[in-house]
Amino acid sequence: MSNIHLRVPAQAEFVGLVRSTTNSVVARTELGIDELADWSLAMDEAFAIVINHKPTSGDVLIDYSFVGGGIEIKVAGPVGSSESVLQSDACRWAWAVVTGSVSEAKSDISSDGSITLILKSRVVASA
Amino acid sequence: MPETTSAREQDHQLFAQFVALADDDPTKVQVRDQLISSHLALVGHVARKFANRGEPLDDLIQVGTIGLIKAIDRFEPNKGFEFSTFAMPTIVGEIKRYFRDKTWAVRVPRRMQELGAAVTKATNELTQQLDRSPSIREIAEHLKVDLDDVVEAINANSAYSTVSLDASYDPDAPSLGDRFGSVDEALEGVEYRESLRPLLLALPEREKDILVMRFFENRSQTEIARTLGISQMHVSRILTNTLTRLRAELQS
Repeated sequence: MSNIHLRVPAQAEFVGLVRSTTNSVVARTELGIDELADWSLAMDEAFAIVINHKPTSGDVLIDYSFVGGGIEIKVAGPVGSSESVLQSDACRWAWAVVTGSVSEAKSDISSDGSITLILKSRVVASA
Repeated sequence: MPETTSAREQDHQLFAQFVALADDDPTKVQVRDQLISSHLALVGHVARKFANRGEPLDDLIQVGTIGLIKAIDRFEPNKGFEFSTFAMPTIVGEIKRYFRDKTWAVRVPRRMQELGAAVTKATNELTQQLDRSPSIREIAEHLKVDLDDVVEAINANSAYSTVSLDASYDPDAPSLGDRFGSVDEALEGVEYRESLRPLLLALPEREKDILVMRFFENRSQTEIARTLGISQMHVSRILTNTLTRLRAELQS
């Protein structure tokens, strides 16, 4: 199956669109309904992390890849963030929720301040 | 509710009179009022079973009374059933319909509300059967509906009011603290700065319980649902609401 790409404005009001798209995509994997619910929570928080510096412009790019009956999602925010943003209580708690909701999570902040999160589900044995 | 033999006989006579009267007979309204009055205790009995679900008891009695009136109008005494047996499902149905309509935070089409309930039921059945959380495809196949309809129902479910979620939590069940030790102690171990800890500690007990089980004890939503005797979708909605509120408070 081809990858799916979503580009939305980096504004909190679009989190619902990201959540419902994530539900539709994860529904096409072999993951269970409670994992789908977890992904929904994880994406709410991931979106909040990448726009945590409250940008007024820029987009969030989300790439969905189907991997081994599961899913891998890359969430990349706009430029302008910083380590201090990532160290805020809001971001640290959001990251704790993300890592508690998916099997594997990595974060990266580029020199221009763009935060990228790479989230992976488990590989489903029967897939 | 008539309790003595004579009251029951009087009830039967009233119903026989009510059925025999023509619809345009002014006496019919009076007889119906008498029947309503004599069975209001039945409505109160049913309404109290739905108390503590976030809706005032008076409102439930009012709604249940509509069910009672419908039952009186439809009752056929010559069929040999007791009126209370006949009326109970109508009264319960009216109150349940009220909850279904009232407790959606945003207006969700009835078809989608019903599919949401069917998805919850199918999830419970398949979880038992498969001994794991079913995939959306499996739920769609079980219900013989389109996969996207299941997703739409799941999305719609998130519009359900938190009031009813709290009410569905059994207040008589032992608290999480009784089962696993102090929840507050678990949260005291949180390593974040001071702004988060008071927010976590201030959460309502039910939300705190679920948050601790999911993120501090690493239990799945299905396991939490089993432990608390509620559906996985309820767990999901409670978590979503709790995390959304925490996020807003942390960012404010």
